[in-house]
Amino acid sequence: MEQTRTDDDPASGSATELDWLRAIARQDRAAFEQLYRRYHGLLSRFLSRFTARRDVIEEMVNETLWVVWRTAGSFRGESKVRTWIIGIAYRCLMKHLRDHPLEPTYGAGERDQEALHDPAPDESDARQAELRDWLRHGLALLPDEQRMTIELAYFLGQSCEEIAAIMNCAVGTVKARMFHARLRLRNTLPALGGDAPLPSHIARA
Amino acid sequence: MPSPQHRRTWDLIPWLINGTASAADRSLAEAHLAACTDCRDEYAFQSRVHAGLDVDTRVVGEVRPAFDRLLARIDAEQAIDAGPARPRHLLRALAATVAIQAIGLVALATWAIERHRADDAPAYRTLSAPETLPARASLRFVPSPELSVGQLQRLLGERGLRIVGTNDGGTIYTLAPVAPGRADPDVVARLRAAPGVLLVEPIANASDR
Repeated sequence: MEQTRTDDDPASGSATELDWLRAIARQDRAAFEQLYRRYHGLLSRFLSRFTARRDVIEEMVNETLWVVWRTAGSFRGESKVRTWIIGIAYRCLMKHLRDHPLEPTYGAGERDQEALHDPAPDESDARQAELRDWLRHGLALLPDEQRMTIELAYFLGQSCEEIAAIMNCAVGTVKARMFHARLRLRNTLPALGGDAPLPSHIARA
Repeated sequence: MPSPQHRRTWDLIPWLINGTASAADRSLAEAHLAACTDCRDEYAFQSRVHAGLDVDTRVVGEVRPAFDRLLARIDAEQAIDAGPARPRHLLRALAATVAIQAIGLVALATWAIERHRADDAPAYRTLSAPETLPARASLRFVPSPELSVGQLQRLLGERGLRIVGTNDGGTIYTLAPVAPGRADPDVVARLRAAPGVLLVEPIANASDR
């Protein structure tokens, strides 16, 4: 029933990234390009969940990796390289969300335009699209910190401890944010089964 | 009343689903899930949320042009850093030189005034005669050459001191309290602790004069 985490970044990959980071601290551009190529897609997909604007996504990706270039020498190995880089991206994203609070997120407009040119979906695709849309609306109703916790856990597959490092908060805070995010999602996403009565101890929380 | 295992399992569900729960937590949760309908429902709900996020992928922009744009930014910043850095460094060095010269000029002027006042005195001093010092002089003070005029002014001003004399080279100053009755008893220790101060010595019997 449960999954076991299958990192794209196993121990050997982490060691490689650490080597790259040390080389980047010495201004090694070849190592920087390797790291950039590894993270460009991951960060772009993650950030695209918060804005539809591709120019903004690239700007945030490049801002994140520019910080990596400038501060690689300060990495002390207190977390995985991946966690450290996602933490930088998270701070860039939160700054963007603070500076542009009215900008529509989750790219509804762009996605709808793209959908006009898509071939007619089969039933399975339609169900996936419906699920995706429900979720997009449900997540958009969450406070930023709760939504971020869900995204980091489910989209990027980060552990509770890693999310605490990324968001620079206590593990208990992550658990609390996840708890409240789950309650809100159950209330706002009845189509996913959220209308089921909550267990008694949860309903009292 | 829910059992501790129930609450624990409910909290663990997201981390079971994303595969980051520890083996011990997984084992505990699996045992409880097999027997608890509420937790299985929540597990199913969260699995649907997870699946909904997982399918939501977007076309990613091209890597090479984006990387080239970042390199161009880095090159531009490095060019700026390398460019104005030298003039700024020279300006700082120039400012420090001017500050040291200004200290010297102030000290020289003070010394000249004091010398002019002492013109009427004999051009010699006997061993039995007391050392000629400006009125109320209480401290000998040697600043570091790196101490700027502004820093010196602030250092002395905050401690209620002023320069009342200097040696021929303008490197050793004689200080006196601005208000004689309000001298700080710990001024020597405070000055010694301040950055940019090489030496502070009280002048013997200064308070007697």
